[in-house]
Amino acid sequence: MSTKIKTAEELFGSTKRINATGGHKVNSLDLAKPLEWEQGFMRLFCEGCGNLVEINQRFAEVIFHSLDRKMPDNPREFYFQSKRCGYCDGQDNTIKLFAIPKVNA
Amino acid sequence: MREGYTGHLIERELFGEINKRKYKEALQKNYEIPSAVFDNFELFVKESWKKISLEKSLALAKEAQPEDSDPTEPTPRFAGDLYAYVAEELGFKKEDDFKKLRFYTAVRSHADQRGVDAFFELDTARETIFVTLDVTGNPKKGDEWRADVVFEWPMDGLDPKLDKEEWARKTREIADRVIYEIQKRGGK
Ligand SMILES: [Zn+2]
Repeated sequence: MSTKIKTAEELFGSTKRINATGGHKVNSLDLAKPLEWEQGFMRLFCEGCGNLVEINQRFAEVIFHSLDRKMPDNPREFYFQSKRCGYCDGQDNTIKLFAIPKVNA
Repeated sequence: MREGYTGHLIERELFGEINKRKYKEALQKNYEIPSAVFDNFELFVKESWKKISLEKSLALAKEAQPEDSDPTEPTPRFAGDLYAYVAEELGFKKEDDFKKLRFYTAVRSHADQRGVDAFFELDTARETIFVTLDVTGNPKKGDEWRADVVFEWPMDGLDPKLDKEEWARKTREIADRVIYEIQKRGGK
């Protein structure tokens, strides 16, 4: 039987998901920073592993849809907070929308 | 703490009129969508981005190596063969030599997001150097960095037993490119 090796995972193996220890707190100063990714639309913070990512509009739309609500007119003034993300092994799918706290310059 | 407080207020504002039961139902009903995005690393990485230095991303990948893996004896057949060729070209023979050359996968790590699938670490007389690898014929636009060795692999894959010659040729070719990168950094 042929066992063709094709994918990056088959060639190199794969890393493990980071342990979602939980309880991470987002830094307000990081949330206040302008987005840097050319597709960046909002931010998502994972309190499971402390990962803060920029997400594109499509991903934001998916999350708003999952929260069963319309996107606000000023999405950039908000961020999402989840208990798991694509990098960690968290199991809790709770995701919430928060306002970015005002930071005094 | 303040964030949480503000957040709860906003939430209440936003979801104001929805009664709690309905709200919960709506959330549960729709939870499959982000869950799918979180479960599917490739999808998550496509739709998100993180500012992270190459060094930091490689350090994180090192911490997340598979259980029981040994960086001087990579288990996947290709990684093992590649390691053997690189070690051979470096003239390594003794056990202490092999300790200087380490292989790590970066698949599904932060480094993967920027087009690094794996990397070698080599202790030279002066410093530790890295050579990054990426198996794609199609580097993503907008990558902040490209791997040192970007190589294509046959679409249909290769079987190390049935395609023995092609497997060896291809693996050696990639090993030569790793060696070239090591030489560029004064590591050989
Ligand atoms: Zn996470």
